[in-house]
Amino acid sequence: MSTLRVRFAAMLATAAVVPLLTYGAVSVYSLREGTRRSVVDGNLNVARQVGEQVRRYISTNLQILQALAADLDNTGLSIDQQDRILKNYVLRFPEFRELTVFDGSGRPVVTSRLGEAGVKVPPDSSATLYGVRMSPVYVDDDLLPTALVAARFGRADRQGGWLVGEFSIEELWRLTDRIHIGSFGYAMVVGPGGELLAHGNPDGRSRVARGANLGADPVVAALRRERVGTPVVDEPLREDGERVLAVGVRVPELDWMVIVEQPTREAYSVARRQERELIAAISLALLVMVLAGLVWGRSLILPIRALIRGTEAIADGRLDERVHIESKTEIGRLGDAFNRMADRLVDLQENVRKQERHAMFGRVAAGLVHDLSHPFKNIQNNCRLVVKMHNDPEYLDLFRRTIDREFALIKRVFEDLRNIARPMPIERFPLDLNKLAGDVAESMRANAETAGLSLAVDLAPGPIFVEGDVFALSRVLRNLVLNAIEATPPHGVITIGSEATGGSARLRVSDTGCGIAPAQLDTMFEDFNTTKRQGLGLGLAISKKIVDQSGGTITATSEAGHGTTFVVEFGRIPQPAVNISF
Amino acid sequence: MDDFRSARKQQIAETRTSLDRADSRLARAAPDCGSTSVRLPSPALCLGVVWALSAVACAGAAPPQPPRDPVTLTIGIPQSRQVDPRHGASTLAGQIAFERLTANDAEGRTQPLLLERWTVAEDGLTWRLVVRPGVRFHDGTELTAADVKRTLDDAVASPDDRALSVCLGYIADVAAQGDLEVLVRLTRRCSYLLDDLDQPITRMATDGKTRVGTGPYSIVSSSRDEITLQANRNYYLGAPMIDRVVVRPYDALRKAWAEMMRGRVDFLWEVGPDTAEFLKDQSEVEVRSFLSYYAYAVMLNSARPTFREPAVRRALNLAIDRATLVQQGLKGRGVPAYGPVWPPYWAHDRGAPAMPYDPRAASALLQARPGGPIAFTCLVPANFSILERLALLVQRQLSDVDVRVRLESLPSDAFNRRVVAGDFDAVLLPILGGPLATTYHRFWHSPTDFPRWNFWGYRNGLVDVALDTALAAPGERQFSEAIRQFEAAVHDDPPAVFLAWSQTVQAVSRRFAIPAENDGRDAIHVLGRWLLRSPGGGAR
Repeated sequence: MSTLRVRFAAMLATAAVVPLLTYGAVSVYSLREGTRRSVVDGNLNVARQVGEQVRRYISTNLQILQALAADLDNTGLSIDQQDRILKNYVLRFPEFRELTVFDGSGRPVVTSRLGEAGVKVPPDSSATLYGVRMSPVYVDDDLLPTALVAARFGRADRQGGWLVGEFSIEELWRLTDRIHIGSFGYAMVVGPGGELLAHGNPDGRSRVARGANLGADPVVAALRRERVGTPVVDEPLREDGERVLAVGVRVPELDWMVIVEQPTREAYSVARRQERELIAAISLALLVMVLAGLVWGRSLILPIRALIRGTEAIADGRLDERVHIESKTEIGRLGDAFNRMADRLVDLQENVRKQERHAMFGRVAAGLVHDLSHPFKNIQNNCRLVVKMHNDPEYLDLFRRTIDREFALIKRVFEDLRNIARPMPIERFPLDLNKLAGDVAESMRANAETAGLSLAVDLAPGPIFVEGDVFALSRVLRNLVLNAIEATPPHGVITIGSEATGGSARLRVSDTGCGIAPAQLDTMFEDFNTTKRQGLGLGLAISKKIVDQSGGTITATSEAGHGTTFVVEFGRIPQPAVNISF
Repeated sequence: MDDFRSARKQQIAETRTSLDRADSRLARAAPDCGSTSVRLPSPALCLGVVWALSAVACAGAAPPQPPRDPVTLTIGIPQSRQVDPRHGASTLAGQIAFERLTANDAEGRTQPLLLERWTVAEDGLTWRLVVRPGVRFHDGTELTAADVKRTLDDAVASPDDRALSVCLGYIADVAAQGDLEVLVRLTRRCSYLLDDLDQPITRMATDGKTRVGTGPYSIVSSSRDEITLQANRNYYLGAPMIDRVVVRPYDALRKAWAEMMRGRVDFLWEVGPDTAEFLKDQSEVEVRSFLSYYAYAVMLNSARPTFREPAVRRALNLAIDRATLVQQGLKGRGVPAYGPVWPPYWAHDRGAPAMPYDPRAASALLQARPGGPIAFTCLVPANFSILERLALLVQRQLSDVDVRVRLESLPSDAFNRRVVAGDFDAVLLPILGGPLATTYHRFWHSPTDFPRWNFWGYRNGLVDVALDTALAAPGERQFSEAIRQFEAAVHDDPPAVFLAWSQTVQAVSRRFAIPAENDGRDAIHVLGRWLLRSPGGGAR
């Protein structure tokens, strides 16, 4: 993936995606925790209210019993009157199904029952609430929750006497029946010992009738450990496999427990739905953001990549490359500018080519004129002269030699031109560079002496074998020597040398001439490039072509005023098995 | 007589139609999508069923259904709460196993059961009873006219049965004519004859040891702990869906209910009003209620000087706030009672004036009489919390009009003795108010030729005339007119302080579905037609 795309993706992620994801995660967590907390708090409130109602209900009725006991104790009523009062009380307060007065020895004195009293004084071990002794709650034969309650008389003649009531707590059941949390939630009331006193689920009420004990229930157990007022929250798994949210509180003074249960699938349904909606919204926003990012990124990156391709194409020389960016933004303007620039480059290149062609044609023409005018002049002059001196055999011989020489010169010029246009075929065979250098030195010594120069040879010991065309390389060496002769003033020295190091073999031609300017060193091997007053300037170009075709390199170093050195380098080969000599 | 005969014929025809509809296989197979009653399928459903069945037929024969496990219904009877000893376990088992000649519908009308039909001669002295053909006893022997004759002869000869009846004493002769006809000749017209012939038709089995009946179930074993009945596969109304019935007594409702919660009891015959409200929301139990035949009443001993005057008895009735009694005494499960006739009874005068609650008028009546405030003792059966509560409420309400009531609680035996002996000022008890018309004659007619149950010495000439008229009524119109007169006479001269008709509450496991046509009646009467609910809730 391109760096630009990666960077753009990173920018999008940093600026938008990551913050949105972070926000989403925080929001979901907050929502979940907040709604769950509110559900738990709501159910706890219900439990507390139920507990308070239970406490009030029990305390109110116990206070009624106490008030009745006080009335009976203090008002000196006859037995008949007490009988009437007790009967009126059971009618007026249906929670009391029986009220019986016991004397200090535990004998019933008067009862609201028509027959014999059915209650007894609760044992001493019973709990005491609001000054009233209360037995544990039990389910009577009518399947109703019942407890015995007893208020003690304090008057001297009743010392130790009790007013005992059979207290039917069915209102407790009605109270829990009215509690509905959602569609499946209900409340339970549990006694201090874990005995189930009331169950708001009608199907669960049978457990009360069967005397179920919830002492082992984790919520009940936790409530019994905690202080009064400390709620307990749990999510136990019930016998039917349903997980429920259970919140419990202890009822002050009674030491009973109120537990509100609601299946978690219902309790948290709103929270879960909201959570899903939030996740969906965030996911949708994320998707939209990514899509928008992709679209915008694409609209930004594609033009840039097009510009990059176009620039690279221009750099590679494909000046016909253009970019197509349809945009009204800066990118579009950049594309237009690029296209204009490319058009301009093409024009410039064409102009340069025209100029170079003109220059080249000029040089070629000038060189041809220069190189050919002298031979043509000589031929012309000698042709005029031979007309006059056609009888002079000596002159005829001179004429023949001159014509041959001048035509050879012309032929060489034409050959040079042809060699540039169409490289000559090279046949490569193993050859000894030292022998080649020696032969060329020997053949060019006369030329050097004629120019007042010394031609020295500095060859490496032993044969140095390379692969090459002997004739072509001989021409290259002769050309280099000729150039050196032409560039060196009299009394100078031209040196032909050779060396072999490692896998390379080098031929060296040095002179003590005037040297070559650094600017010309770069272009001296190009066609039609010469500093001479005459010639096409093809010698070094042809030499370089030959060396290139032979798999070698040719370089030149020069110091103005001190001379120039040409080095031709080839890859060295082992001495062949059959010595090919020429 | 023609009117009476034609009315009876129409009644019989309607009954036969309803019975045929009730025991049709279609009613048995009617799907029930969760309701507690069984209804005939709608035409659309029938069409759907036909289509489905034809599709199945085209696809090929359906694979045979695997035999289902035997179904047992366990009935729990809290014995300690028996107000009427007839509803003890053995009595209940007898009701299931032994059928009678007739039954009563929801309005108390007499319907054929083991009798197919009956006709009455124009003079009302000859009854021709036609026995339903094809009815077999549990031992396979066929029910014949001879069995009916034997049963009726035994009843006529039984002093206990005669004491309960009106017409048995007027039977001159019972003769079997052929296999299916019984002729009963009376010495006088008696329209209550079929009520008084409400006897279980039984015979001794071929083994000579057990007594067999014709009911949908036969008793196969009996012990202190339970009575087991087996389904009668040859039952003439179709074999019952329930294979076995177990009747189990419990000494406390709590135990019976706990067993129901454990799945060991399927049907509680009676649930007290206190607990009924807590049971009604149970998902596995259906709580159904119907108006009992019994009314709670304070029976006033008219032989005692205190209650000799009708004005006093009227005053006591005016002093009672029946609505409060129902609410506080019966927890709302009941209706006020203003007279001795069961309110749904077909002949009950629904336009009859109700006794208002008017303590001022009551006080005025009481003060107008010579002598001081009235005081009397009311006997109450011991250990019946409902009666105790009602007694206290009555005592309080009467005390508001300066009537002092002393309540005396007695064990059942002592209570019954005192009642039968007439040794009481007043008694609080549930009094039968229907559906048999003979009941009114039994409790309210002045004693005449043979013992009655008018233990409270009530004598009212108008009542006697009305009841005698009803007894001799040739047709329904005359009969209902006579009952209307009876009610009017009782209203003017009440023999008792009628308090409230109670509701009987029963709890049934939702495994079973009770036919809808039984709504408003004791489900035991149609036990042979109970249906099983499929696990999806539909009845099958």
